[in-house]
Amino acid sequence: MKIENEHSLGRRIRKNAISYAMLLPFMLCFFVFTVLPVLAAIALSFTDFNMLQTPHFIGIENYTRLFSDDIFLIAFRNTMLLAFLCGPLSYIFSFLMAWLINEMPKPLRVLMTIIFYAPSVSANVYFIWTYLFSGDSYGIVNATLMNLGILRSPVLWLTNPNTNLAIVMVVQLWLSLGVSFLAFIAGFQGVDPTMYEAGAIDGVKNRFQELWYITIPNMKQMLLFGAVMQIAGSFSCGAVSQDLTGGYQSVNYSTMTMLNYITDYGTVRYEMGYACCIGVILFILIVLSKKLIFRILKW
Amino acid sequence: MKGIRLLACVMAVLTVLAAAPLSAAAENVPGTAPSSVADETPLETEPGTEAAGAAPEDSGESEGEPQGGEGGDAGDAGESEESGIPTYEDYTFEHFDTGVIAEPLILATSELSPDSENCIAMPFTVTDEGYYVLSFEYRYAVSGNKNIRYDVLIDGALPFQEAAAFTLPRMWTNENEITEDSNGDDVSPKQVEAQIWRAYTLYDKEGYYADPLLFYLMPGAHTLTVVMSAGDAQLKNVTLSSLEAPPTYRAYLSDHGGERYDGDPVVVQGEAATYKSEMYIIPQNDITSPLNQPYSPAKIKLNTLGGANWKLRGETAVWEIENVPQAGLYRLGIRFRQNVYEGVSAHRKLYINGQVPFEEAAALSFPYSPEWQTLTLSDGEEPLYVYLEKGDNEIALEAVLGDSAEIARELQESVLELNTIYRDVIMITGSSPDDYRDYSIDEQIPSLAGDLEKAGKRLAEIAEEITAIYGSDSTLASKLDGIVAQMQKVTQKPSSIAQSGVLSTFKSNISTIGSWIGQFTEQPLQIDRMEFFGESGTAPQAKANFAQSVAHSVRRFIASFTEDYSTMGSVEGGGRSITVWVQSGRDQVNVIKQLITSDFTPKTGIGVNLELVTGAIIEATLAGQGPDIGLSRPVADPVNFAMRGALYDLSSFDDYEQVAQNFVPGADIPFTYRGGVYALPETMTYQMMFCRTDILEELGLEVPKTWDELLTLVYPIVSRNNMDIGIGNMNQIAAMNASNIFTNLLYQMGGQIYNDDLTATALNTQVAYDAFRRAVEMYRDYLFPQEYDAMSRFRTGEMPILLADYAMYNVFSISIPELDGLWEMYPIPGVLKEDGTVDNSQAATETASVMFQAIEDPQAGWEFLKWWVSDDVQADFGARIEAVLGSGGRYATANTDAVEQLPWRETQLSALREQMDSLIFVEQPPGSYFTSRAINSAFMTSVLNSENPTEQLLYWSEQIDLELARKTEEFSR
Repeated sequence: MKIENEHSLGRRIRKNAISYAMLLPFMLCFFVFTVLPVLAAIALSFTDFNMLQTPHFIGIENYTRLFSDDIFLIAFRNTMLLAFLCGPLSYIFSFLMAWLINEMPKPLRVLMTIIFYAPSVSANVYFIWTYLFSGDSYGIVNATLMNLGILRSPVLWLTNPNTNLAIVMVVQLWLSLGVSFLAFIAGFQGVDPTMYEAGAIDGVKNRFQELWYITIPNMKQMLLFGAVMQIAGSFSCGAVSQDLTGGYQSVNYSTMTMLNYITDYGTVRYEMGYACCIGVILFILIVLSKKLIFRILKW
Repeated sequence: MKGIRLLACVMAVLTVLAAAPLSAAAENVPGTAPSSVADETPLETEPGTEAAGAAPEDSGESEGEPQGGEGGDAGDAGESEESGIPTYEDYTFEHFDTGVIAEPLILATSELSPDSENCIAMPFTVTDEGYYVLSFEYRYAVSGNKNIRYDVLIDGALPFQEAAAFTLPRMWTNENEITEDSNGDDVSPKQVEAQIWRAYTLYDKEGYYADPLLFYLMPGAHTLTVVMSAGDAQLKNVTLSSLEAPPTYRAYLSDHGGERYDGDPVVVQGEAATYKSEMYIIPQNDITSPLNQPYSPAKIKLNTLGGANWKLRGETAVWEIENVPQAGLYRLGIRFRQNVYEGVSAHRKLYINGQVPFEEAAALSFPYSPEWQTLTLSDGEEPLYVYLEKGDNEIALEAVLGDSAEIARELQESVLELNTIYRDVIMITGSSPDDYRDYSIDEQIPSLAGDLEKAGKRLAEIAEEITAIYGSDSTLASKLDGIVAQMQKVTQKPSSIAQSGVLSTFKSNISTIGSWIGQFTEQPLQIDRMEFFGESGTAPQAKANFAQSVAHSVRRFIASFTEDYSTMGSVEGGGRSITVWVQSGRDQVNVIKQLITSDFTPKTGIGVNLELVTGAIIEATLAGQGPDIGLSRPVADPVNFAMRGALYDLSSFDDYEQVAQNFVPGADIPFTYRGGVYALPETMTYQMMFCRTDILEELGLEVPKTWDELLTLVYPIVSRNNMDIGIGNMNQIAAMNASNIFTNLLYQMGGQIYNDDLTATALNTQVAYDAFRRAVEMYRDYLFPQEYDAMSRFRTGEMPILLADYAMYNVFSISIPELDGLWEMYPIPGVLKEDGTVDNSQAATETASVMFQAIEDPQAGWEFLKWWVSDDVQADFGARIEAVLGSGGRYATANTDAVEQLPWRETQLSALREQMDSLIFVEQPPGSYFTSRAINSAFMTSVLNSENPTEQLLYWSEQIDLELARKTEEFSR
């Protein structure tokens, strides 16, 4: 929507005063708790704010430092791996799952929906993985593999830099299945059955053709929504890597994501300026990747 | 040295024997021990410790005897072993009861105080041969916190092993009546010691025997010596008499004629107990039932006594009542709750005016239920009456094991037996056997089949006993049946135990059975009130009826809107006030509030607004909404806040130096920034080495004092027997300001983490490389377990030596009761110095109390901080928090005098003292958070990826230096 001038906007607001009044509570909250912090973060990213003293303006020093920061590169790499490996994988996987489950009879479908959606609603349930991947020789995975003779000595799954990122990715995948899954289920339900009849008459031969030519074009909105949520989620994941493997304290920063890096600078080093600067970069990355998604999915 | 003191004591006895007049004994004995050690145990009685061999605890099997400890003491231990002190079981079996004892022997009637060796020796002459029971009255002449431990020697020697290490409980009373605070909530009264004379009969420590301990005496002259760990108790009316069971009810009635009372009941409130044998048996609040007296749906009323805090054998509560209307026979109803251990009963012995009235009262059984219940004295059908005098009477309830005693003893023996089998097996197969390999285990351990059968049979017997007492549908009996069935399977085919699945089931069964011992040895009971009621009266109502419950719930619900349970409330003072934020648990904050109400505010007139806040302190300070004082802050906070100008420099107060004397020297190092000190230490934790002395003895090993001994002498034998040594989980490396293998080695070898002016690390030195390489090698080459669960491995004996936080002592002693006396804690291994001494330095970690710069009344804040870290308050806090959380929650105070006042035993204290002498504190320069993660990365990469440790350390220490320099620069702007 393009606004022509102040005057016409004011007039239009007066005309729809009731609607705007209804919008106001949300807009206020949105402005105070979302827009304002984002603006503040952008502003702070040009300062040396340390949480206790008055911030000083230091220009783009934070940004120039960021681009020569080796550790930021590790965080960037890990985030990209998570976003572009976990994101699409989980997207495709949850789509296939939604499709399969949609074909099931109703009681089973409800049950499976709960099973798939449960991990993403119950926060912190991923701690179960620390139990599975305990480094103790009596930990479940270790004990099983040692009993089978595959391992000879216990592996510190969550500490070892060779394994921990992989585990974080698996857990992230498991957690994120639910997000777009529900949207897809809704999408499948929303396709008009007469379309399939028409398709059958017009010569659709099998289920895959049905999926490709009828279902997918019909649920474009849901696919787009799922993709956007997935990407945003993948970029801003950090809780799993922090809690399971130490995040910014992991060995050689092996599982540190950009979000962990922000936490590190914000709450450990109290360098809010630099933390905000990383945040701004992350923000830009997410916006850009959303544009990319829109471009890709707009066929 | 302690052995020498034992000898001195024995000598003293002999001197007494020779020069008969008892009063002269004190002068006659040459004071061999210097006065400074007078408060230490003259005879080390702790089983499994230094001179433990002198007094090993009964474990039911001779091989379970703890090993005599280190160095010079081993000789003494050996001696005692040769002298062959029998166990109590053997002792009573050896001597058949022959004589009938006509007259009790009165050894002394006047007050006796211990001599300079803390001994009281009493000569006496026996005419009737037979078994005697020892009873006496005692009183503490000097008030204190710690119970005296004592041994009973007959003719200068322990008659049996269990005659050592008894405890004389101090008696405690409420300092004042229960009062209300400004909110209308009850304030828990402070517990103060009551130095009263108390009658006492000697029972075994564990409570495994229902009867008192028996001493077998032949005719002739003897000496009874009581050897105490400290000299502040007195004895009188020391008597040896024959064993007399309480009378039958019929006999009791005929002795206590009198009318049956009929009138209003005499109500005794549980929380009003006059004396308690432990300071943690305190009035408790219970709001689950509207029938509790006193009752309030909204306010906190202290209306019950005991609960999970009143459970150990011998713990006694005494009620003095004054208002009995007439002498006569009363019925007794006790309203109680036993909701801790499902399916088993708690037991209490009832005393009326110092006597167990009749045999039924020797072990009253309080069954389990989640609800409140009422127990009325009866023999099953007919009510039983007790006789009360008109006016003053004294009622006492003592925790006893009752018919659980036998089961507990059997379970303990069973677990030891099973653990021995388990260890024998893993010595051959390792803890995770290879299923595809034939270990021919029955040939390797010829006794295996027999052992298994014996153990299985014992378990089956225990199951039967439990079924007989609690019925076959009790959950415990059915679980035990399952284990018995599994045991039978293994017994039929002993070789199957070498399969990983069977072995791990076997191991988890041992843990399960071990955890049950607590259910039988612990007797938790909560008492609301006792009512002595008349013939036609009724016992107190136990459960609220429907209408009462509904009314209760509705009033509670309404109160939830009117009462503010979230803020801890403020204590009003005379105008001055401070705000204190505590980052801790609700229980802790409640106790702090009690202390402030009863002590700080009355003394200083400073009001305190106490809040329980976790996190957000820095944000709050930023917004100008922060507190004046922050308690329980993590160790890194003070310098972190201080370098941002948020904290008040405590060293600017004149008496700071004096306050700092409360702590181990150097405890202020982590809180020091540019010459200022920004916090006072609150808690302090460090590691100790826990050893299974029974296993070390079995393997013929000494407790290692140095890493070299550990690696060259202990490690080969332990690992050959498929056992492990736990030097700490490897991820502890990530805490550089706490005890872990690398920091400890570094400091022990003479290195340090930072250079002297804290501008960079001191890690690119040869000593640091050596320490780092050694630490890496332990995990990488010696293959010490990198991650493990200490409790289960210590229990089974898979890990007979492990390093753990010293607080684990209490966790172990509560959770592994079956190993009582078979393990001990020692200072951690060290490095042998050139002068022959061992440096066992380690890094201690602390929590801190801080004062914020924004405080308006710094003097008031400083008063509060000084008060909070003072000896008495820290000790009182420790005692109270232990009363709430149990001994597993023992407070790790940083105040060195307060540590001594916590109920540690003397042997443990001396081990702790030894370790406390060599604690180091790591500095916290700006940027120190980076050190931990850098060392962690260097260490993990070296161990897990087999990188060169020296290169890793070099690389990462450079990274640390960069970060330190960056931070230093930031803060010098």
